[in-house]
Amino acid sequence: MSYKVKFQQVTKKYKMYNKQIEKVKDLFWNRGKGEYHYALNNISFTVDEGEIVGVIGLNGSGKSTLSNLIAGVTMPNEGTVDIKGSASLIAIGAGLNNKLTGLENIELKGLMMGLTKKQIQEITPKVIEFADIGKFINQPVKTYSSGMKSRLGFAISVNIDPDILVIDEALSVGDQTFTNKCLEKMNEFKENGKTIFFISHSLSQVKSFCTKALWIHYGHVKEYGDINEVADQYGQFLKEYNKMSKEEREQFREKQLNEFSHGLLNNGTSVSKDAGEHSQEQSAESLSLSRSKRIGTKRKSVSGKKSFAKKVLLPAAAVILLGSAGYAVYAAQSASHAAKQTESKTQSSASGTAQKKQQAGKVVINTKTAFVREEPNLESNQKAVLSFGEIYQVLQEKKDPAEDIKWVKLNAGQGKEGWVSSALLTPYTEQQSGLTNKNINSLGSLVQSKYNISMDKLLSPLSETQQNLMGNQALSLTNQYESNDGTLLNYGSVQYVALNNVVTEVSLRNVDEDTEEILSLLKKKPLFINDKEGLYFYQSKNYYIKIYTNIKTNKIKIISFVSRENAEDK
Amino acid sequence: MKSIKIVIQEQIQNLYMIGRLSAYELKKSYADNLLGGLWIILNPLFQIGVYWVVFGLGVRGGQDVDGIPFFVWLICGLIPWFFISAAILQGSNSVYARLNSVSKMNFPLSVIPTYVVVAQLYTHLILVAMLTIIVITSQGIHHINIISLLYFMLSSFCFLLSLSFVTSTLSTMVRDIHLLIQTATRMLFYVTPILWLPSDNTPQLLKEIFAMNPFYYIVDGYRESLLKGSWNFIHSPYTIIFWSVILLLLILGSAIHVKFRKQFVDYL
Repeated sequence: MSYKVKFQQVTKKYKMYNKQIEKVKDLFWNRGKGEYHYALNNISFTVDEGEIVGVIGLNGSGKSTLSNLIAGVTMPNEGTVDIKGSASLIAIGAGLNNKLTGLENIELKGLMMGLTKKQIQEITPKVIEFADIGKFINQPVKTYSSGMKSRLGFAISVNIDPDILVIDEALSVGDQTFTNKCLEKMNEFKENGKTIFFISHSLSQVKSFCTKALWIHYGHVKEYGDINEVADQYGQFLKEYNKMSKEEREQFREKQLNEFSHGLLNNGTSVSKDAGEHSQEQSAESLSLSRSKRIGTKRKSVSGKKSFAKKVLLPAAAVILLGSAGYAVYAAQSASHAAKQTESKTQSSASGTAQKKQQAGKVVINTKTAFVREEPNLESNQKAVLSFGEIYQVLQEKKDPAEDIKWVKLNAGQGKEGWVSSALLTPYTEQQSGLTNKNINSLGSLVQSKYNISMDKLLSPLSETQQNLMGNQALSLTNQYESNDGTLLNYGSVQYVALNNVVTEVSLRNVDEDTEEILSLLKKKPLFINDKEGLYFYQSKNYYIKIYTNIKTNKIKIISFVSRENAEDK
Repeated sequence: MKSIKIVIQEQIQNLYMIGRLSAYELKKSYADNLLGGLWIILNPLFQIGVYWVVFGLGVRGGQDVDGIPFFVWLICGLIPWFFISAAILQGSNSVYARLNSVSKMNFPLSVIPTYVVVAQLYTHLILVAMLTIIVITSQGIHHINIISLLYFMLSSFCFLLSLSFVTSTLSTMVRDIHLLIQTATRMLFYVTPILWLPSDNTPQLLKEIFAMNPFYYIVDGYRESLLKGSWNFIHSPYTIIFWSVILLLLILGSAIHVKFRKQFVDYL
């Protein structure tokens, strides 16, 4: 996959001035001496297209500086920021002029973002509809509430259709309805292969729709990877951090800052590398705290060997406190984990032999996005991303003794073999009881009334050629574009996916019906449920049926039918 | 030289944007007022009234200037000066004042001084149109040299624009410079022969120095083309001096603008 955003050893520092005159002197002589604040310190990462990256971290850790760098608002002092395409930054009320009306602001901001007259005319009605502020659109912005301002700002930025969208805390002032609307819109961006950076303090929001997370910690990248892993670690860290007293926090902050800027001021790559390793050790430490009971001996040997790491650790008292807190968390987690395992067992054991067959059987991805790793451990590189409902042949299984994760090796297509954590997979057998055509047709009246197409018409293009679909379509094509998954053809809210000229999938989008209601229409039980992410998986003789729901509103977002013939190839 | 190319390229690429943004700039400045756009005329009218009463009736006692009524002579100098002073002050503050609203997007900062000065040009055009009508009714049409007038409007615009590149960059980085420019502009108003004529007893050298003042070049150019219809001023060596100053300002302005604009946001 091609990358969209690439940071290479980027450093952004701000010089601290005590006197105004020093600032002026610096302008003309540009001396390197002085005291610097390192907002971002030697960070590197790459983001592929179609990713939604949640940027998390404490206040003052450099999140906003990062967003400014991505949007091209400021330049790094060192290193390179490589952005492919246009980037747009959404921050609260940015670029809105208080004296002008909403409508005028739409044009003004559009102009400033470099749109042509025609483009502005095109987006204006869309913006008005999305912002949904009624008659206020003709009133000066100064009369708006803060929510309305951010809605308008968001609506404009989103409709300008940038390649990369950076959302800096802009959703925090909107109400739930608007937030959902934005999240929906961002999902659309995601499907169009666009890249989104989402900066938020709401861990649940980040978790609910980001694919990756970037944890910035005092100007450094502490973790970068799969959203669930990083968000969990961050959540854990926050718990520990919140338990610290004010003094401890200050001490902690100072220590981290000192250590980081120290590493850079001495310059030399070896030193800064050292600092990087250092922080890794630290995170290893804090991680192992949570598992202190299980691998206590190992932890000891680690901390014993690396006495240097000890120096930067919190005072001993804090460590003990955190350790016990961490253990409590671990205990709670392992309990829920066990519960989940039994749940998945009951779901998958439709036929008693399912468990045994799994050894050389097939598995189906049970989460929105699953990473394929090079090696069976969490630290190794990610090779590919698999999505919900895809079925793969198991090649090999392996247990990671240190992490207590079972790894499954599979072929992720195009000859890419890699390892996926078994927690993201559910065993799959073809014989498992599925829906009959009658079950599926029970959705017919809903589909007819909502999408104006009969069930037969909807499903018949599957496995046919793309030309066939476009030739015999009752609905009119709204747009069509290429993505990583193939050609996407949108007929209003009905989306077909064609891969290599064969239609493989059809999705009903914006279903917005009660989850329970629809599920009861289908009568049969799903093959499996991911209740954390609101995913339901069914199969019938001809199709796999994937249902995406919003667990907050308990409504269905997308119902998707995948032709089994074509999916089997994987 | 490379930075001049960058700046000019950005101007050309964003011509439509400059046009629309300057229109909004004008709209914005009068949006809150009851009388709205009428203030474009009202504001100068009051000022002209005061100067006319104080200097025309008071100091000069209603005397003519070379056979031209003082009032007409005065407005021929004051109206270009309104343009000059407004463009200098607004231009100097242009980047700093708008940095907040554009800092969250990737926006070609070099168009800010341009559209601010263009917005002032609109006001100026309205005033010049009225000025022309007044001159025609009082002095007759045969004295006006339209081409020369257009030349001086263009050259004053170019001068103010290149000056704004320098001042806007400097005053964004060091706020004191904006205050300095405010004071300097006020002083220039009296140093430049707008309200007064250099008397015949003035030493020749001092006269030369006055004439080299680019503001005097503009103000006198307006007067010559409106009241005497002469070309002489354009043919004088002062034209070369004037355009060299423009070129110099443009080189300096675009160089520092391009050099420092990456850091503008950091100065906020």
